[in-house]
Amino acid sequence: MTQNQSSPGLRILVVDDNRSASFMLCVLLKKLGHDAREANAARAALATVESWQPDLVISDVGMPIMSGHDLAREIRSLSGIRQPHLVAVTGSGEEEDVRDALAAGFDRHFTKPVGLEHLQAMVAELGSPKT
Amino acid sequence: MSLYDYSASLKRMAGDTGLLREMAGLFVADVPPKLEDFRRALKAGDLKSASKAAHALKGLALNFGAARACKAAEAMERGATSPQFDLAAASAELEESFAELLPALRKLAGDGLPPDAEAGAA
Repeated sequence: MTQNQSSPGLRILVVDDNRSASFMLCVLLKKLGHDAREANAARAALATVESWQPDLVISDVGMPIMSGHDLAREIRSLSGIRQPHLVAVTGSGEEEDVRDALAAGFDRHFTKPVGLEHLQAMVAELGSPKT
Repeated sequence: MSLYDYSASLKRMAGDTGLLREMAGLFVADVPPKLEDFRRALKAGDLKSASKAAHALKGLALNFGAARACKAAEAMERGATSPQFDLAAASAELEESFAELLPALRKLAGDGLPPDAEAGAA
């Protein structure tokens, strides 16, 4: 597997209540040379964002109890951390999904299924840690 | 016609047959309890929960480009809470599509081969 040369070793948190989806993305991200962790609920993800301070958070939107939109809003309201890039992933890519994701604080929206090429695109677009 | 898209799935997983098999194994483990959630919600008349279970099933099927199962789950997810929706027909389609997909992915989890591969080939 080719190591990503532009932004190696990013810390990336994958959030999805579908554990097989988050597992797959973590495996692929590790193949690309990144340090990837997964969370299967938004609350757990929020705690990880605060403690681990990832460069990039890739999150599902349709999660029970606390949605991906709520997670994005919570992350954006955190002070005292380096704000990560936020990417929303949803099952449909309708205009409304994209608009709602951006309004909640996401930087970018991707439509499932997400695979290797999408991850490479995310890292290429958003790979530089925010200052 | 294939029940799922082997080539696209493998490509998404960086050509890693081991990962593809592992993902198929997770699918086989995760789908039956989600189907149970769906049936329980439907039986209880909790259509919001039925829609959520369908959403989860769609997410699992999307990883494999399983067109019929994805379509059935999406129809249920979107339609379950609508008054004009034919719940019985959509539910039957969802059940049938996952019932035919499960053995195919159980086979994939076992041998990692495309669905049309001859036994013993590759």
